[in-house]
Amino acid sequence: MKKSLPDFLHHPLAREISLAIVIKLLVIVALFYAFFDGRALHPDADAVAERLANPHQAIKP
Amino acid sequence: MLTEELVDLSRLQFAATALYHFLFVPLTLGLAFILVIMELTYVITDRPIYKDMTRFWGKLFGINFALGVTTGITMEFQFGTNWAYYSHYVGDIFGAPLAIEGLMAFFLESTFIGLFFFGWDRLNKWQHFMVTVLMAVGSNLSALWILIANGWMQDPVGAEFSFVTMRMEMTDFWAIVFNPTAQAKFVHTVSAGYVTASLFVLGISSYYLLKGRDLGFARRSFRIAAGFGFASALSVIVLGDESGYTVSESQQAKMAAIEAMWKTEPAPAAFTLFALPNEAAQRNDYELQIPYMLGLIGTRSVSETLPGIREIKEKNRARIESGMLAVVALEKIRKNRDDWDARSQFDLHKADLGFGLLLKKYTVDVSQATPEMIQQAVDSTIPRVAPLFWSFRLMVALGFAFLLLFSLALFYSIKGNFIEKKWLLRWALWFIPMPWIAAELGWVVAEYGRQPWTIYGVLPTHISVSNLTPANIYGSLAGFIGFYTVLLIVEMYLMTKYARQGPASLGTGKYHGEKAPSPSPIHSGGALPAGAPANRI
Repeated sequence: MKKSLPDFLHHPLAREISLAIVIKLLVIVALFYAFFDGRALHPDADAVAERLANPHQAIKP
Repeated sequence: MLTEELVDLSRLQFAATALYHFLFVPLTLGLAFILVIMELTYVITDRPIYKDMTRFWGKLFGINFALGVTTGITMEFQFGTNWAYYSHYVGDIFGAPLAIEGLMAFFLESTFIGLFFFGWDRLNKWQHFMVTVLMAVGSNLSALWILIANGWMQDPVGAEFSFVTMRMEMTDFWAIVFNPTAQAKFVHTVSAGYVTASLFVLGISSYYLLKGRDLGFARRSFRIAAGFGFASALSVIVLGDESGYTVSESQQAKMAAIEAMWKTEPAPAAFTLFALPNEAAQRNDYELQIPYMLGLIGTRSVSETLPGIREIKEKNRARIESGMLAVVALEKIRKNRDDWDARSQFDLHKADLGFGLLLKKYTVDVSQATPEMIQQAVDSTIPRVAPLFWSFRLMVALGFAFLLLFSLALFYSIKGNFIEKKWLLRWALWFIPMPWIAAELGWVVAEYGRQPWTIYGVLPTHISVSNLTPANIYGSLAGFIGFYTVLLIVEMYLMTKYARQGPASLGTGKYHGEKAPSPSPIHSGGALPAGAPANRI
């Protein structure tokens, strides 16, 4: 099983660091997904013009 | 609805993640160069103890890097999720240095960090030393590009607004790169990182010296930290002064708020050492001043004046009134691009467009803004004085305390009797957290002082924020604070654990608490390899 791992993952420290980074990235992605999914805005020039004209507009579904 | 609560929450979320992120950054910036010094000494002298020093402090560097990496990513995501209008409005400019940082500096840094840890047995001494140098250069280049982006937020040069694309467009890349505000911030910030790392090494070395263990190892580490720390503490003060000078030129409202200068004083203005800023009455209570000092620092002259808050407000009132015309003209142009009257009106007033947009917080139709609304907008152009006044003074006081500490540490290092100065060692040990506090206060001054703008004088904060619900932010804010707190606890646990173990954690069998591999002599400063002459260690 270990032989199938890339070389650098044979080192215990490298495995720990890689695992820590992967876990952290997963937590960050999960947080963003949980609270911001479906809320993404893709403003174009017109959307920004509308925003500047009326910053208090209601949130679009 | 876009509410004040949403804006404040979005700001809080960004501030919280940025402040947490910057707990990890300064140590990385500074420790990398301390490793370069230690390894260079090893390469030149060939004494194994310097290799052990590089490896041990490198281990603490690695823990900090492994925990800190990815904490900055959340801020980049937030530009899209929480600050979508900001990202559209200035993404063409702001995105470029961030992308360069990721592609060039962070990849360089990460690659060479890998080689630093896993290359000891695969590279010769000089090759490994070059890896360490490139790792240090990479981490500092990361800071450079981030601070170029941040410097542009403070002083938006080399860009122009286009009413066609409704965004700022880059007109001069090199003006952005060599923006004096960004360059001054960069050197000041990395110097603060060097101070942080120097005090980290100095304090932990002092701990070993106080405990009477690993004396040779700790003595050498202490000396290197004292020398590097002295140069860094001196730099951070000189370069901080330069950074303050750029602020006095490009962000007069921030400077006036930092100094609690309510009205323009005759040149050269006095520096207020202590006062209780009274925002309601627009004056300072219990003021203690040093004559001429602020004028000299802020203008580098004895004849130039620094504008006070009242005068700045009057200037801003004129800009807001001019900006109202720009906003009205822009709205007409968006409806009809061939409205040449509106276009010439816009060209005349577009430099003040941002100031006109400040009124959008109070009214949808800025042409109908009442004098009360204009007054509210004028008042909003000055950040709150007391937090800036105190944050700045505490940061500066800590900066001078670091200089004093490192001066004494260097002085007694040269005299060779610092081990006997227990008070100095205790001071160094208990002062370890202070550079972090100073650095965080520096960011509070820089970013809180930028309000009410995300891009100074160009884009107000309340327009930059995404239309989310407060519930989105409350939930994610709680998640990020919880997650980052766990990382911080793990960092502190691992740092304490390995710092307490000391060089014994390298498992060489030569240091305090280790079983010697053979009856060879165990020296307090690291053991000799069998047969090695004593003066080689």
